[in-house]
Amino acid sequence: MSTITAVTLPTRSGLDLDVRPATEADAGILLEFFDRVSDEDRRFRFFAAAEHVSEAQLAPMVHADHFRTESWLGFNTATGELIASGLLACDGPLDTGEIAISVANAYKGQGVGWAMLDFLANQAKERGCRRAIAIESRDNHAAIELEREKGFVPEPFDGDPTMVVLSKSFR
Amino acid sequence: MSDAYRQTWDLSIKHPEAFWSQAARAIDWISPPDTTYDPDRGWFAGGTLNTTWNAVDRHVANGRGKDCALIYDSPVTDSVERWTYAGLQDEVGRVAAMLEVRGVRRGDRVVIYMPMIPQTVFAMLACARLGAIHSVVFGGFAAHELAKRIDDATPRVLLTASCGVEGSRTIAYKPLVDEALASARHEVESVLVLQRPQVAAELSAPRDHDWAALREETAHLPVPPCAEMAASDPLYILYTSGTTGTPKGVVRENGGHAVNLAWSMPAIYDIGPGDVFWAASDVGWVVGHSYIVYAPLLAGATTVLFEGKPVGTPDAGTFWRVIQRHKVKTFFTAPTAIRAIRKEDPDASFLQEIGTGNLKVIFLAGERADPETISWAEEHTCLPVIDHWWQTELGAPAIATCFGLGDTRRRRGSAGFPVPGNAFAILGEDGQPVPDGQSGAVVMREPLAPCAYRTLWNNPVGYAKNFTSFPGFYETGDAGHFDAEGFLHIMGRTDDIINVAGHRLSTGQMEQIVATVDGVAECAVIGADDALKGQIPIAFVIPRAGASDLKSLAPRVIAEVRSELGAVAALKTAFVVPQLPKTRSGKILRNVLRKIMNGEDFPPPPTIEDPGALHAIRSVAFPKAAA
Repeated sequence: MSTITAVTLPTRSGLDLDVRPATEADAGILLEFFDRVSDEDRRFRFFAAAEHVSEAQLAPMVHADHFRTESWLGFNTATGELIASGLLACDGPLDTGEIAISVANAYKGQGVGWAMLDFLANQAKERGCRRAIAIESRDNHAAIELEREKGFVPEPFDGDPTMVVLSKSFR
Repeated sequence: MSDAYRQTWDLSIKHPEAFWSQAARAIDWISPPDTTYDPDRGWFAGGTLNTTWNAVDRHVANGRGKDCALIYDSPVTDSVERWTYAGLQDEVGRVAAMLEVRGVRRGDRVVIYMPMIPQTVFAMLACARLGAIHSVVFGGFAAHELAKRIDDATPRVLLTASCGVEGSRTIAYKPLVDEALASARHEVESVLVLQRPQVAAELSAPRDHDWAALREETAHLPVPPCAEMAASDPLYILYTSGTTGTPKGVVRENGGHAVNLAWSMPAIYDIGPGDVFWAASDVGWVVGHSYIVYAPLLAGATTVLFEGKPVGTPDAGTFWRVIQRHKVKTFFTAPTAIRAIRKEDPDASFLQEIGTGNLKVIFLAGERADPETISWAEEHTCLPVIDHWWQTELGAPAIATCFGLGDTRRRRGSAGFPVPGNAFAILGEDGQPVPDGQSGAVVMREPLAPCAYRTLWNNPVGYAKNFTSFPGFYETGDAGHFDAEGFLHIMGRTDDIINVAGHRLSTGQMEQIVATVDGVAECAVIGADDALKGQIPIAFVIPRAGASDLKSLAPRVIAEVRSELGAVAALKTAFVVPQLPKTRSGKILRNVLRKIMNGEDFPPPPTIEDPGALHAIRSVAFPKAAA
């Protein structure tokens, strides 16, 4: 398994994204970041509708074990602004890695989510996962379409008509 | 199979313009449309009309002024009143004059926050007469919700009454209105207050005006003429719950609305001029707009305006009494009302004693009618009980058994068949149609029927979202399937909207409110099954570390939701739990919470972070079962 400390990802819009793992020290900037994520995207990220992310919700993002779970922050290279958050959380046997991504509202539609998805899926693959999944609200059409374009296949989730799981197999 | 239904549906789908052009002949046009449908201009472009002319004035002009238009039956005030079409025309004209004197002009918005009394109906029709856009807000919403709607609709005038009457309780409206106006950013120019004998409202000059006094002051003024409205001019804005706290203002257009509703009365409900139709709903909801006020009057029928409840005003015989007394031919109510009657009177003793008079059929909508409720109702009324389906966005039924076309096919649990003018598909996650019997997203092919919305007020982007997931289709937000015989089954929402006693509510909006309560670290609100109301909201709250007074947390959560949203929210249960079931990335597994509360098996999904969370929650919600 490779560990990445920092990497720069290009996006289709020309914006470059500096991506690094999050630490406990990043709690403050992550809380502020999620206030810049749209209400709807915050709801899609946590399946909860609160107007602000709580410290409890932030915990997995700042206390990753850097093994099964890794949390990344994406910064606009040009401005240093935090504009994306991505979490990869794998199960015990490292069979399935769940991906969850948020992009600041002002940076949507610029390929940031696309770049983060590629990156996190690759991280899951490099960890030896058989597949990566994203669990989405059926309402999250943008994410579902993006993931389908990236080869993720949608399936019903747990008999819940409000949700869908998109899965990409590596082997 | 009803040949008339099949032929009508086929024609409406293969030749929609011909079909709706024919239907449009039932409406009086000032200028006829130059086209039936245009993708940019909508339905009946070029046509001009006035909805109130069509609902009221033309019946008088056609010699039916003495026929009964409106029956107000209020067991809570022990009153029954009747208005002929001529009488209704007078009353509507008076309110129109009042509004005009207060500066209301064509295109102005008028918010109506009034109980189920005749003046509410007069006010809606008066706005339509002037070309003003009414926005009726259900009286069960709290001041904060009314304020949001005021800020979005920016009305010139607000109409209200001193109180609503619910059983033996009176609910003062004016304090709620004052609170809403104080917190709203938009300033309303005038507030017209109808004083009811039960409660006297305090008026604050110069903004507030006494309804009766203003009516008297303007009694000498001529009735304003019916404004000439383009088919696409808005008739009203009706707010419905979205997935979060921002309500969606559905805009209804004059032309398509009039044509579609006028068509629906004989074709679906078997109602024509002189027949008595009763929709037991509230004018604050779309059923009330369409089927208490506009559709029956457009059809020249008699409409019943009922101020009461299915039980407790005074008892479970109320509905049957109204039906018998007024010779109702078609009755429309919500499944929850039938369940309430059944709970109070399981042997249908009142029904046996009172009978159903002239009643020919009962329609149910507002939530999926469970087979047991339909079965009980059919057994005891010996009448067809027809579930059907539609939405605020659509304005008229889209799935139904068209009883008026001679179709009587029903399947318990199904909403029936696509109504003429409505083409449905069931699509999978890949956007492709799924086989019969398989569940998927329920979508409707564009263009939607003429009554359907074509925008949201101040929110064209929000409107467009419903048409982007599946190009060429409107996404209803429901999941369902066709069966092998063509019945369409609507099984539930694909978002977090729930249906409580036929009222559409947003669990997301409730969560936003719960999250602000002091001591709450995290929360989730889900809809659980309820034998009476269909669904009820239940809140789960994780307390903030170090929060004191945990015993008061659940009651405070419930009180805050009621305070912000109103009694309509019906949040009565909140559990304080140590954790919520989540995926490894932190997404709340809401379906598992639903399963726990519904008493279903809840095997931990493979994606769950901590399976122990499920039993911890169950032991809080059902401590005896867990022991």
